[in-house]
Amino acid sequence: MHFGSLAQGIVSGVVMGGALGLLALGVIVVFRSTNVLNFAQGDASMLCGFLLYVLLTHVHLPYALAVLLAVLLGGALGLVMDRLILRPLRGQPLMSSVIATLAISMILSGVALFVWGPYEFAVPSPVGTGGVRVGSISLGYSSLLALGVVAVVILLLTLLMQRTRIGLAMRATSQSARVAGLLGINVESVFSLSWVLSGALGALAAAIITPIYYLDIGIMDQLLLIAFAGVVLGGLTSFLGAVAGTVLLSVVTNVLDLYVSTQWTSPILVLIILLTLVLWPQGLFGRRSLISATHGLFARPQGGSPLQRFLGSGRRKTSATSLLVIIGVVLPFLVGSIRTDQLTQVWIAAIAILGLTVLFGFTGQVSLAQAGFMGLGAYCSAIVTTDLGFPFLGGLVAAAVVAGLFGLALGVPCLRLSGPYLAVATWGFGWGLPTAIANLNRLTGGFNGMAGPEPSLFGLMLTGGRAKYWLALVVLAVCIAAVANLRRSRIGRAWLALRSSEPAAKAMGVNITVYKLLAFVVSAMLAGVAGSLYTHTVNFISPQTFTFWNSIFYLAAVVVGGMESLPGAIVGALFLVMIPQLVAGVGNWQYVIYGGALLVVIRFAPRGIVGVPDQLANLFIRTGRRQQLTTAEPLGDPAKSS
Amino acid sequence: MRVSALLAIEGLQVRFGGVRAVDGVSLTVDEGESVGIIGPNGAGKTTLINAITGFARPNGGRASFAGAPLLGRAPHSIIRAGIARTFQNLELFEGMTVVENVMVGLHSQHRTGVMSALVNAPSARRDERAMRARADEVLDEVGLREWRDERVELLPYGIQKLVELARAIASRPRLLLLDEPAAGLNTHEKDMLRQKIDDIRASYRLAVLVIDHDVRFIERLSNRMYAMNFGTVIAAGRPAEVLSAPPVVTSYLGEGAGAP
Repeated sequence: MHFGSLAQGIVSGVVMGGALGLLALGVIVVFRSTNVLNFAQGDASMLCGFLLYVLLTHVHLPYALAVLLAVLLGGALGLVMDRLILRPLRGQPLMSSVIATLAISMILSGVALFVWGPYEFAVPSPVGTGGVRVGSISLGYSSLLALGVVAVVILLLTLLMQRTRIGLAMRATSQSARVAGLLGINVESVFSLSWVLSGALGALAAAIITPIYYLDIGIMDQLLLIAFAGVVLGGLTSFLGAVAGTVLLSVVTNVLDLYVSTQWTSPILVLIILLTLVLWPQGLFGRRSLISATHGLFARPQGGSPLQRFLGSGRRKTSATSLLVIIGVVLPFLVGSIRTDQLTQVWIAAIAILGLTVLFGFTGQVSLAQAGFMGLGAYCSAIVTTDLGFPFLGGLVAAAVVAGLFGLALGVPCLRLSGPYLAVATWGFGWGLPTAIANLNRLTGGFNGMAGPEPSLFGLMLTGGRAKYWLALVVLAVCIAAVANLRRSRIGRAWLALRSSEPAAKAMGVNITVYKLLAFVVSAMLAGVAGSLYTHTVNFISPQTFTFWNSIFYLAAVVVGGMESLPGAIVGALFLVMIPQLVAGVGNWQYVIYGGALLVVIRFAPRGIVGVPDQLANLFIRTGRRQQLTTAEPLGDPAKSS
Repeated sequence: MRVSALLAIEGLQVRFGGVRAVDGVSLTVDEGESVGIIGPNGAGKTTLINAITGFARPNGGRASFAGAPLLGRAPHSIIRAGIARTFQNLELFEGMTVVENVMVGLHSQHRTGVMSALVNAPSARRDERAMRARADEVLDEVGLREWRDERVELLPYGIQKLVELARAIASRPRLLLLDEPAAGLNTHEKDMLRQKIDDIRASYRLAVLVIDHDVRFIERLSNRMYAMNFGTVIAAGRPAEVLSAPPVVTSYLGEGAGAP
């Protein structure tokens, strides 16, 4: 490679990163005031892009007017999202809000798919297609415009934040919404304003980015993921840092594409992201104070559990469990073979989700690597059974062990990370792994995928839907029993303790490092087991089977099912796998319905679906115990209990 | 440094950047003794406790506990040595019940490993029964029996304080460090808490090192007192002596104030 192409690579990287930076700025504006990572930013931006496209090519409005209208739409979308969906979720754990934005994203892209279909559109640029050449480097006018707009937006945002009363209110709110409220700042207005601003920035991003690339319903989502990585790399607190992060990421990508090979770019990029976060856990430009702000992500909804008290431990619980087990066992006789296969996948997903219940539900560590570990286990099992000729059980054990080892390897650098930083570090792993699998094509068959042999136990072939169903059910039961045993022991208590208060857990003798890593390992092993079962029940795997989105949905399933609940993992898996299947008949609308269902659960069942009976019971058992708590205490003073 | 002392600290220093939070503090706590430390905000009291328990890294000085060197140990290994602590702003394990909180206090006393817990082996079950029995015993002693299965975050503040106390003594430590136990309690509650601490100290033969702003609370609770200001010890001795020492009077009541 000669110098010219390197320079060109760097320059286009800067332009690309700058444009991504616009998307990133919208993410930061919302994050700074609400601590919510907005997954809907890409889709809102995409909708504005389509409005722009229609206004320019069909209505033939002047460019400036069209952009203005798109920006207004963006702001309006932001306002509606905040008022309608996020405001009612304020008292709940932050993760609910994050999953809600994911649901919004699904609804928006579902609507867009219905209206525009999966096609690419060319959005005209206001400055035409020409460009300038400096030496061997060429730059389109659109790119120059993008750089200029990004610079101006950063400047304006910084001025707004540092020099105006509104900015002061926003900064105060991001430090502590409660204190800001006590000081007379209208916190709700600040939140709404951030969403409006963020929506407007998204529209602007669409106006800048789509003429350079193209417009379809997915492009902004893809770019958003890269923007997320850039934002976290730069530190979630600083505007300039975020843009610097996205620019850095793009430049490194281009340089790697030139000098290494395109196929290894993303695994290397992932390593760079991981390494950066290990060295600077708050991002390159981030500030330390953010740690406390992100802690709220794992705040727990409070409340006793009349249902749990009713079920207690004794006979009632046992009989309820055995009833469920009997239903599970006979289900294949009651439903058709297609449903049986789908339910098999539900049990397998439940195993992976159970892993996240341990990691996120018990210890509060958020991970977006679960599908990655599942893929690792799937391939490991396929290789061990086909290439090495071991029986199915060998593959299953190997999958668990290898995934566990990788879990340990990922857990060590992640020890100091929390919240969104941890999310991105783990996401990087889940993102780079499929690419790595595809690249190791002599071992894995690359994009052609691999076949997984039918499972067998001690020489007995388990072919046919029902046999596989029972296999998955039995493995799930074993996994649930194991996790339940751990949860009940001093190990489970140590996990919950460190989630709630690290200092107190340490003072009580809990070695935080060991227990955090243990959670990582157990979680990854369960994903590995799920992956192995997938290989041998579906009989085909490819790098595209285990994507980042699967990881996100597993996390959503944990929240939907009920965060630290083991039955919740099963309910979450049922929701995750079966709802799309049940509404598959409605074609393009299935995303909208799925997203809507997700929103309904998050809004009306803050403790997940397994918490619903409790909520209902609470409606009827208002008095009694609670009254006792506030009136008859020997020592406490209720006035101080808040 | 007296060799007989349970806890002996000599010339302890903790600096945060240019701030000398603890600047050459020496103190001792004998077996079964109750020692109080008073001092205004920022005097370095909490930093001292953090340094003893491994949460803050000392820049100089020595400390020994029961004859063994104490400094440089990880926070999670301190309780195994026999030192338990509470926190200034309650640090309870929310989402867990009272009895579970106390059982975490017994974490260091048992050895159930991952494998035996995973399969719920007989040894794990035995351990679990022992922990539960011991936790119930502690709850009885502190008077928390009726709150046993309540989630801690739903309890009144005073009860929460007792849960933290129960959690700290569950492992039968030899030294208990109390960081502002009386903060946020009213006079009546303070009296109750002091009584509880006295009872526990007597039945456990436990040494207590307690810090607080509340001079009366400390005075009644302690056999001996230290007064701190600006990271140094400004007076030491019997409560009455410390409270009438001129530097203490000055730092509490301002320059030129007479004896109380």
